[in-house]
Amino acid sequence: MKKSLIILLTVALLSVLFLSSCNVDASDGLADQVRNSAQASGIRILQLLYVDLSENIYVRSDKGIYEISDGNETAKYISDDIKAAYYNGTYLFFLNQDGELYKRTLTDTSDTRVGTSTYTKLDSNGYLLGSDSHIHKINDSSNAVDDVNTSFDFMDFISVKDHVLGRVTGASSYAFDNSSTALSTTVEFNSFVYDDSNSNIYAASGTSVYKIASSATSLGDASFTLNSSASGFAYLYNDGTNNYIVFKTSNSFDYLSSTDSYATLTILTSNWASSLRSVSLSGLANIGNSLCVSTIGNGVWEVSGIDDSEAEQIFY
Amino acid sequence: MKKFIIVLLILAAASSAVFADTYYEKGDTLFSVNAGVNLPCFMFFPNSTSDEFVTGFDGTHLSLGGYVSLSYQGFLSKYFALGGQIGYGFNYSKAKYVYATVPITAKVSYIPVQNYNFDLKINANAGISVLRYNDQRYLSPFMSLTVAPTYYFSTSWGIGLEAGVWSWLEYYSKSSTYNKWEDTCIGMFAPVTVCLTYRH
Repeated sequence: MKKSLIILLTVALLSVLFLSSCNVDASDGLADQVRNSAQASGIRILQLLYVDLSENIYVRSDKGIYEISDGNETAKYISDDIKAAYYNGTYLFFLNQDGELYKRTLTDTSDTRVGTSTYTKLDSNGYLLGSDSHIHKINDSSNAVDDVNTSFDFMDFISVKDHVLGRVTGASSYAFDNSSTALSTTVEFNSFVYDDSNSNIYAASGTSVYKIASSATSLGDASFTLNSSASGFAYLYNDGTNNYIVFKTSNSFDYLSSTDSYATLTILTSNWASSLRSVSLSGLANIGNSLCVSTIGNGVWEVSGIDDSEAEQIFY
Repeated sequence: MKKFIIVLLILAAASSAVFADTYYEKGDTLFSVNAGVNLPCFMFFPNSTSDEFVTGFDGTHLSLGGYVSLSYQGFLSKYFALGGQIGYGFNYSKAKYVYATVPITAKVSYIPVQNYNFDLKINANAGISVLRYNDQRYLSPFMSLTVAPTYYFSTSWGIGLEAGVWSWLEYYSKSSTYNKWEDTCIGMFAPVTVCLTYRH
């Protein structure tokens, strides 16, 4: 009896130790995620396209293009043939499933093909990766497609407003904008932000943020270490007074501030960041002086201050 | 809920004086199947800087949930039965994700009232529970305390109601990269289930 009890207790203890490895998976407190869980939205927002001066928000969902105004969504173009979209306030450009680029206004009843080329990627900033492996951009004045970088063949790119960082095919290098000199690096970037005031690129790779002069050809040491791995979202947010370079990581929002010339990385896990750190983002933008955060399954949120605000779910 | 448990305990104490006879003997067994609901009572975040104590549906952001369990016990004496229990509890969060609780526990029951047609069990469970939410898991210590009055409509089969509370702990130590320590939480839920019991 005593021997059986010892064996039973040993097996129970080993089982608990084995099962405890499950806790490694809990990258965020489960109960904390639950208490911060937000109302699921009626539409799944895949792309945050545009915020106009009246603070109407335009998004792409899995059903088509919607306008969100005062917490209500209005279908602007329902189609299941939209692979990716870009909206400049006048024209909606979109790639269909065959990679063809079309444009229309939100009141048009038909689409117009733009050029004859095909593309593999269109992002929310209007950058395109062509089937010719070159990077192009939609010109908001002519509403045509311009070449951006034809010096290299690219396999992918990431962009921010007016700037692009393309990954060169077959090489560990990235080309910035229309540069014919590539930045040599062995890391892969998740996201980046461009600071107009000093022409620096702040590019995130894993948990590292590299500060790179836009004319640099090699990658220096990482300048900052993020709280956790960077997601594909970074944004230069302006609150009306200061600029903030915001990185979404898997567990937090980390930011650099213009108040100290981007010298210090601040990790945010409380207040609004607590509510939004575990949601799946689909875009970041300015809405007035607030930060607009769109999520795939939990609607759109507005954050009125970078540090101590609570997030307000303005659409679900 | 608290009043309900107190009333049942008083009834149990009073009844044990009235029904001095015992029905069970050492070596008898109990097999129970439970199904019902669970109510989120509270979540307490002792290390959090805000909203340390959230209660009810609104505070926890959890819906009324369900709970099912199976248990098997053998009598160590006329009043005490020991065995094990496995269960599955679920609630939906505000985001419509399932928050699941899978407790695997040792179960001890004290049966102060027992006769041919009726018994009253006071059950205590202790063990582990796999908590699951949003594709993430956590293995937590788990314990519960419930009361189960049961009416036996035949020699072996009975049906009753079981109600009480269960509690779990999500503990995180301080980390240099991410302060999950703030996410440490003690939670309490209240299950109310219908219980079908086979005794032999």
